[in-house]
Amino acid sequence: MKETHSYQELYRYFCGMITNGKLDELNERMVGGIPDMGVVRGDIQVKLTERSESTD
Amino acid sequence: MYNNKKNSNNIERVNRHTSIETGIYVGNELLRFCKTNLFHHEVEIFLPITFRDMKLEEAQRKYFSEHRPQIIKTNEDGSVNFTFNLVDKEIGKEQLEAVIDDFYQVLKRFQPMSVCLETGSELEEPVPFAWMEFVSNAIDENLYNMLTIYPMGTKLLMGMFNCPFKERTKWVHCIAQIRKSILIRNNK
Repeated sequence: MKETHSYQELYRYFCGMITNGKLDELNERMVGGIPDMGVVRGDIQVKLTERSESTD
Repeated sequence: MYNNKKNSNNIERVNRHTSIETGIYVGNELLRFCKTNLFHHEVEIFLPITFRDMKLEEAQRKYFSEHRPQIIKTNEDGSVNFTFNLVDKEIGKEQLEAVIDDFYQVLKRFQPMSVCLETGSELEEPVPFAWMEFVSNAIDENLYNMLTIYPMGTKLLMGMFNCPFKERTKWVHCIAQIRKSILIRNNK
């Protein structure tokens, strides 16, 4: 069976993995209080880095 | 000549609005403040009148962690936030700076790309506090964060402000006034 996940879901999963466990409530709240997104509406716009080309 | 007069009028207008009582200019917008009660009236703080409670679905988009803040007050488009957590942890005012230092270590461990700008404390205020400002990396942009902690008897109040990094300078004066406007009713 093939499952489809959005980029946002995968990112959330990844963030969940790295912030799981070992933190007490105080630090969990501090880390959990840092936003993962700047905006709350619309889709995630992934900015592509422009490729810089050397003139050499 | 006309431009000089216009600039001087603008400066005068901004200088007349520098406190919670008069309102404060953030960019071109004059923010007015209202008394806001938090945590069953245990905490009182002045926040911008136009700020609202963030809806759960918006909070889930913005804060992926299940440990997202208990209270989130936000502007119209959700890009600027004041958030609050009350945690069962007894911390004396002499320990506040050490707690901020610990936070910084945790922050670097879990968000290695974040950058701490400055830390400080104001221990002689009626409600003493310590703070840390740092830059974090959200998916779509860099954010400016200001964490402030206040001892509340057997609890610790954590206030966090965040906005897009490019807008931080507009907010610095406003945040300094807001964090001093706090009143804690039951400090046991």
